Amino acid sequence: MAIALVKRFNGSQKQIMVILAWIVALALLFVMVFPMLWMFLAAFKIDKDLFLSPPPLFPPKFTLNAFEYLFSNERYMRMMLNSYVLSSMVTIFCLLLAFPAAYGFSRFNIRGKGSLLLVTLVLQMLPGVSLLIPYYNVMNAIGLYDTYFGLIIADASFALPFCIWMLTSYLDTIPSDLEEAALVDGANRLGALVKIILPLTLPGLIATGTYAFLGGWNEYMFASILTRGGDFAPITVGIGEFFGLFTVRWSQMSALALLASVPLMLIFIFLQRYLVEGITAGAIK
Amino acid sequence: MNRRHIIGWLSLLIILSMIITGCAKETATPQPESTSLPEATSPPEATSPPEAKPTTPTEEEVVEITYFEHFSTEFGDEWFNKIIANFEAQHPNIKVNRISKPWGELWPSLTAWAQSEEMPDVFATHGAWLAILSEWNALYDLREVIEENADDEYIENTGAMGPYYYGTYKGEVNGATWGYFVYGLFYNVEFFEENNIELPGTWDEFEELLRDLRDEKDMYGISLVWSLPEGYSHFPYLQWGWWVTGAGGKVYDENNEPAFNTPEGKSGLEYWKRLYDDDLISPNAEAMTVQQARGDFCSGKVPFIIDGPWIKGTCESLGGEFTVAMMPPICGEETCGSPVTFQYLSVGANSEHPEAAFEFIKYMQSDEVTIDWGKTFGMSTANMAYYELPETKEDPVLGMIPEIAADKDNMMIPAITNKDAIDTMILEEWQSILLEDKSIDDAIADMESQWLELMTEF
Amino acid sequence: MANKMLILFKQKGFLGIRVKGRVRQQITGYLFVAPAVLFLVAITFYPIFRSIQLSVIDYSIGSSDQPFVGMKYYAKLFEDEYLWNALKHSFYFGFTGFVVTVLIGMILAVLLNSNWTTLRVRDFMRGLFVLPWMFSTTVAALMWGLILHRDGILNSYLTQLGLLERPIAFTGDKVLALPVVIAIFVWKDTPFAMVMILAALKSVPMDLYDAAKVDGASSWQYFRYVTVPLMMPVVLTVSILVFIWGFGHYDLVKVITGGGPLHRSEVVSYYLYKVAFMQMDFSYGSAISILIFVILLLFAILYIRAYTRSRPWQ
Repeated sequence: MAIALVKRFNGSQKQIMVILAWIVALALLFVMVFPMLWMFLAAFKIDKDLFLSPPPLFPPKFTLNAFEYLFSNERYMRMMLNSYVLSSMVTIFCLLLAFPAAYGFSRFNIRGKGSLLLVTLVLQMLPGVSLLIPYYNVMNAIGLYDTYFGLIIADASFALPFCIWMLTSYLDTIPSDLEEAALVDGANRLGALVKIILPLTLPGLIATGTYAFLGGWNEYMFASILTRGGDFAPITVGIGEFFGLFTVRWSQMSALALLASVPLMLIFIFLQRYLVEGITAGAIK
Repeated sequence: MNRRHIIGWLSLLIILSMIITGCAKETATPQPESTSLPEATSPPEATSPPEAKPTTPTEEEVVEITYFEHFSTEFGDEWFNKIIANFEAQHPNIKVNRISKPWGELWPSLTAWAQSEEMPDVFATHGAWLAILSEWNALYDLREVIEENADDEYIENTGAMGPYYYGTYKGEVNGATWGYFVYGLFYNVEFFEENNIELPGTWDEFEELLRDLRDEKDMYGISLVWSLPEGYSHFPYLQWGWWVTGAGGKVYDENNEPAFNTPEGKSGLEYWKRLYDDDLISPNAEAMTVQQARGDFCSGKVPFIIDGPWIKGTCESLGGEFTVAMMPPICGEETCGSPVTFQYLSVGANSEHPEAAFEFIKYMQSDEVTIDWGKTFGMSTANMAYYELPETKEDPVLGMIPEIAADKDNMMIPAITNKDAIDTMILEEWQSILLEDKSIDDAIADMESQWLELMTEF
Repeated sequence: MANKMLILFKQKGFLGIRVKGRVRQQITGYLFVAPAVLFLVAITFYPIFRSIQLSVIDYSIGSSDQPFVGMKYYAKLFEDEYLWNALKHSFYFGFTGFVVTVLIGMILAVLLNSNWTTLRVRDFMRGLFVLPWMFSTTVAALMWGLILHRDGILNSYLTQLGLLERPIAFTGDKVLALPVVIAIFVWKDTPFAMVMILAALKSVPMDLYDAAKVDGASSWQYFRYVTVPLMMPVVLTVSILVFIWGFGHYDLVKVITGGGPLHRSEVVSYYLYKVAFMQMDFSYGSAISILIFVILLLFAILYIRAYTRSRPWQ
């Protein structure tokens, strides 16, 4: 839309818009990214330098101690693996359930649709704090305490409502005429769903999938109460462990946070770019 | 890559994840590696007092107990693996499974387990938790395993620290002491030597010193933690309570009820308010966190800190370059003393093997283990054997502890149920005094009524 | 396989009973929706039930005496001025949070979707903008804590620039504490809004645009009458979600301000944590949970009304 917008104006006005865009973008970029920069650089400092006043941005004494510590302890590698498995499974589980559900809500005039939608959101409306002990009880009772499945179910139960709602709204932006046309052409409902709707919703699916993935990745409260801290704990628990009674290992914590986030960022950049740009362009035909 | 490839990769990912998930469920918690016995730093001495009854079950049966601790996330697994292996070697029919969580998750975990009646067999408790868990019937009364029908006299006189060997609450013996937390004024030795300053002996001298530092050197003497997320455990006892006890007053009485509505209590508040108002402590104490305060001290910005013996290790890990020493107990008008509290090891109420659990506790309390704990990490132990060692006596921090332990005027941090809520309330009233000019008399009256309310509400 | 089943269903009907078109439509719809809804209902049931149960008895762990006390704790809700203080803050948090987040999210989404610089640069920027979302709240709180504290970098720059005489304790200031926490919340959730809205913008089919152009519509008209309505469902959904998260937010307050100073940044779920885990009053805590639940339920109902009205073509 703004493409057309920009083309509409004559040369100099267009230049002003471009400059304006740059200013806004850079300003927001600075605000978004700077705290992270700060934190990441902390991973390379010795702890003492964190408390100097005024605090220097770049490490006065560059060190890789924090990373050495992390890599030498296979427990953290295990936690990274746990996080990846957990988040992937939560994403798959959520998308598998949410996509058909969103389709049902969007395309069918189900009686009681509003109520059903509300029901899905109910868990979100109870504050997480009050859910801690009930969740522990449930997982304990069905024997899923300190397992992958327990955490997957818990995290999925939090991510699923949003996935349903977001996908429903994405599907709503795609007019149903497209499927009607396909159905008239002889395809059945499921075929239409997979061949036509799915590609068009891909941006929405990826966005929602990212949300589900990060929901599992960053969750701390339930991860800590539903695991024993041993084999199945995700990386958030590992980060939490650096807060001791007597010491806080800032640089190691920052290093671990960095290790935990950079792969995500890379995956996100490449996955998003490839699938979104590529498929959207192709699916128009 | 077209769509088919994507589906292919996705399916692969799903299958892989399922395999990992499926396999992982069967993996047992990794066994602690049995390492060799600890090096002989000091010959293992005769351990716990003679027991009156056999405490292990039949020789053939192997019993498993769980041990829940929070130090390994800070100090590493090796020490714990080592001592557990050692214990299992000495008691071949007891197997110890260790669960570890960081400090911040301790209380939520204990709460969750308490309400589902699945407390671990052995775990650490602090004073207030002892009270709360006891009220919840989550703790096993150790009287039964210490000695059949042990009476109060036996409880009081057994063990290395006399009346401090066990923790009791409302007549039940719920915990065995393990850690001894002493709080005090720690200082930067080189700073005082180089500047030729004398250490203060009383609170008045302390205030004077802060003024001198401000006037002559334009620096602050100490950073105090009065912010809400963390300061609630500091202000009531490590500052106010300490001063009040020194002045001959009390914060709470034998029934854990407020006893601070006295001239001493009021003067205590006035003292610390004066330090705040006259700009003698690092500014914005109401936003100061524990980490910042430690950072201020360890980086040399302020020469004092109120903390425990672990501050030495903290400063070392933060790269501090000076010697940390502990001041002798500071005196008020009436007494000199320090705030002290214990860390206990307790047994869960639903434990299936309380005798085995208590065996483990006795082992942890033994001279051998506590000395190793103290030496390896510089921690202060309840068992006094560690402080008998010559090198400990010379330590500028730990050398002070026997003297402090024997001091009758110490202020024991209370074991009240609802202590966290009460402490938070006190800190909030304190912030009202500082930030909103609430009168001290009003605040004291409010504190009193809210304390009683919170106590009974529990 | 599923295809065959559907065809079979169409021909043979369900259990041999042939159903009419509309009812069959409904059933198909329910079938699509069922797995997700059933899963959520199964999980939701126990926590809600337990919360309600706890709120009407005098609950104490380990005690066998837990008498039914009816509305005692609900009555307490009305007398508790700290609770109303916290509710006020939560509303403020939710409202400000969602407005600012969605606004900035929309700006960023539109920016990233427009052609003022090459696609490569915009993709790179999008990758950077997404970063705050990648962190857990604890880590985010720590990052900001390092920056905001009295000796942190923000204060030192502001004093160097001469804008401040003395460093401000941002997280300990009576007036600033809550806005600062909200700002961190916005910082963390804006990427989420941006990504969702951007995905919606990208879903707008280009042939609609071409058709509109043929019909003679100008770009502004296209934006106003086509893009915005198509974006609305997603924008509304993001808004209500961010509001719910903001209202019920807990992590940041716990780590950064502890509700202080003097209850100035206390939000209702942190108050709930204090009541339940510090005062050990699980009954009253459950009553507060139910209250929060009812409030959010009302908002969700309002949202659904607004949402169905925003889809005029269906």
